[in-house]
Amino acid sequence: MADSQDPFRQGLAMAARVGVELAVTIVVGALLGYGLDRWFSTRPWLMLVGMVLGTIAGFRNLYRMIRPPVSNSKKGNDGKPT
Amino acid sequence: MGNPLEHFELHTLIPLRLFGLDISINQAVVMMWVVCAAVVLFFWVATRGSRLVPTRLQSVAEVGVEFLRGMIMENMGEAGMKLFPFIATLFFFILFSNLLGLVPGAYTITSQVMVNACLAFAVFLLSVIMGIVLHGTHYLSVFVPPGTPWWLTPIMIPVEIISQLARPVTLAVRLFANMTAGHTVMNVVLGLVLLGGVTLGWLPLGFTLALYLLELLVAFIQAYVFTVLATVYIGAAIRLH
Repeated sequence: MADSQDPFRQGLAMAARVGVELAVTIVVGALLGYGLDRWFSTRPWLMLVGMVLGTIAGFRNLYRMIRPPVSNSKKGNDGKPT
Repeated sequence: MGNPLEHFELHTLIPLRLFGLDISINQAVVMMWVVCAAVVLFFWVATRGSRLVPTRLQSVAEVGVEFLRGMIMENMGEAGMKLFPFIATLFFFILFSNLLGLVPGAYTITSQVMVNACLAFAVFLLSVIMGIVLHGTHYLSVFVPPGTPWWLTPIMIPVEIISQLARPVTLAVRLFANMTAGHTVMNVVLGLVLLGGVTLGWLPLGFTLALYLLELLVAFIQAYVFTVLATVYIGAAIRLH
């Protein structure tokens, strides 16, 4: 257990993460938009915008997870979103 | 046959109110006490009269602590070692909750999304506080990742805000979903044993055993994932890009 770079465990951890991460990010975006909609009473536009932005954020996090940006990889946190 | 979600319901054991808040004692609260006691007991027994040549239990505890130390050094650096007690508490609390929840009849507190949400919110709050204390207003640059073209900034800022806010939610939901789903599936398959009767009942029974072993693995993985992401998130706030 001492070696946290074990590829098997890294793979398991990643598999345990990706699905929920993508789904939750979209829902958080949509909920944020929904909340702002109620505040500004602009239903349903901000919710739709939030959903699109949440989808972008979710896919970008996914992309980061599998392929870390070059500027971050030298700090040694490969494979994890920052 | 009973509802497979029934055993996730909370029942008040001792009704209690404080300043209009409902702080009744239910199974989850009792189970949390049991988990805390179990963690303390485990480390007390493991480190009692610690030797140079460790006993079996002591070496298990040492491997766990050493593993957490490595995780913190890797994701948060030397500065993160100050947070070792917090991270270790988080890991062992979640791990023992998951494992003790697998004892038949025991309540799995990590299947309550609010319990996980409190833990995740503590991590989120800590990362924001660390970021602001260490970097001041410069911390706001997390919303504009390096290498963003200027014309993308108006999109990247809301996208970053959403992904920052999604972090505690994903932490909480992942743990909750994994624990709830695993226990529900086990419950349903166990229900099939009764349906199958003597002739076919052994098949789902074997499945339940396999699922139980899988759940043991999931208990470890989910505790590991929660803790490793907590260190990554706090580490990102400490390092700031």
